[in-house]
Amino acid sequence: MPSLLDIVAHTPAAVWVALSVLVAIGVRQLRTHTVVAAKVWIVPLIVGVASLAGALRGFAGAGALLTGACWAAGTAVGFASNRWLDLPRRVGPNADGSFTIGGSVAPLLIFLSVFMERYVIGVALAIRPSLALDPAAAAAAAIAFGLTAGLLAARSRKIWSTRRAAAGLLAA
Amino acid sequence: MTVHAVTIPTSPALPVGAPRLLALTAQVAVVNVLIAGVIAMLGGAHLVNTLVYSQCIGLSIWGSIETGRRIAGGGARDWPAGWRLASLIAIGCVAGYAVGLTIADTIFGHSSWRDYLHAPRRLLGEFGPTVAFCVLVSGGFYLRAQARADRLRMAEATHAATLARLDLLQSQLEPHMLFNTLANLRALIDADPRRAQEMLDHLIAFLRATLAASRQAAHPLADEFARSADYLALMQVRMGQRLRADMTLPAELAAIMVPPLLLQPLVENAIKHGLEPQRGLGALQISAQLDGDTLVLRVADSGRGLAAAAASGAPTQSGFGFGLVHVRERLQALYGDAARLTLAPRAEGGTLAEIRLPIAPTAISAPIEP
Repeated sequence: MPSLLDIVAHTPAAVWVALSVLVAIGVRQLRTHTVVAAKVWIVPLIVGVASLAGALRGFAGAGALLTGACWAAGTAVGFASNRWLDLPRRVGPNADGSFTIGGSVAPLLIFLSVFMERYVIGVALAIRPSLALDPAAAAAAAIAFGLTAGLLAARSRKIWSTRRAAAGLLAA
Repeated sequence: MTVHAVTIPTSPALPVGAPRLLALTAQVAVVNVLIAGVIAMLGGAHLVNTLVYSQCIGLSIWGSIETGRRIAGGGARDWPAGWRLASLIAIGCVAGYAVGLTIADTIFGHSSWRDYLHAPRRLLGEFGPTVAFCVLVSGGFYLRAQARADRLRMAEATHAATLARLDLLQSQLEPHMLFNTLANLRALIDADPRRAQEMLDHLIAFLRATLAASRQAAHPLADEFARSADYLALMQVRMGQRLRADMTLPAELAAIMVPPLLLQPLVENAIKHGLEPQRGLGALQISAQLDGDTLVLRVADSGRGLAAAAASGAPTQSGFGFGLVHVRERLQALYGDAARLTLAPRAEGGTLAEIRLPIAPTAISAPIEP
């Protein structure tokens, strides 16, 4: 088995580019920032589609139904977990339809988790290609992918819901 | 009537006992099993060895961070912030990794340190991923602790708001005012049934509005003026031609949201301590105007003035009545030092009460869930 350091050394440059993009997006959100309404759902959508596609493609031999179902279960658990994490902590709608979101380390951590999942699973598949046929590995990977996608979706839902709450307050 | 201020502890010290510590340890252990599973999936390593190493290292890193957190953070649930948080996790990782690795080595009679001495790259290859997992897992715990603290604060704020509402209601439906009005009504029923009816209508409107207002966090300034008008109408029936009131609300300010029943205690105060005890005609001017981003609400009376009110032993001591103390407390709670209530004598006689409050709402507020 190659050492982890060798794996890291042989990682294609494109992966590090992807990591730096994710880190850059995460770092920007350490500070209070404004997000236009149209962008609220884009990140969970991209991460969701990419993770489902990644799981289906990576574990094609394990059965699309199982992988898809596990991804959906992971997404549901990830979505529900925001009941405890309650992300984002500080958010408020603006008059022009955008949202102001308080700076937090949470997006950076979520993006790093997304990267770690993809990286570890990619490495695992590269070292042991037979894992692609293993239902247990497919289930574990799909659940992990789903968790972060679900959490991101729940975060966006909370951002979006502040608009409705504010509208209700004004109408009252 | 005496009303005692209710103080609410800002940070209730919840006991963090053994059961919670046990639950946390179990959660960390589950995470360690998952990490061991990932390493095993990557292949090569022996599953039992991997499990033991991952538990030893994971639990000792968690133990180091938890201990450091309690020493640095003070409270059992508090996490430090910023660079203190980063260094806590960094130190916890290094110390926990060294201790956990040594414990696991002892169990298996092996020395990873000797391996690392021969192949330093291995240390980097094994410690690196440990740091990555450690950052993500402690980040998750940190976010959860923050969310929990937020929920606690929210619950306290709700509790405080409920008490404040009760207080407000009590101060508005003060028996003195109610009994006075009813006594007047009783006298009027025989003398002037039509005016009695009119007064009763105002009383009903006033009671209904007070109840409704006490349930809201904010209402338009126009409503606030309407409530004061109801109150004035009641007083006018009582004082007759002696009271002349004049209200000025610019149309562009009508929709500004303000906390309910801010103005009315000022009006009540002006009548009770300024105009009513005085003989002859009394004039009251109520106005709103904008001064930059500040809303200025003024209640000016031509009454006997502050000095006379204090001299006659009105229930004022330093606060000029419970109603005003209450307004001041609510302004402080809602706006901090950005809002204030002042009372000052007027040059032409009488008293001017002035409330200044910011109208710009903060963009970021605590989450509002319907």
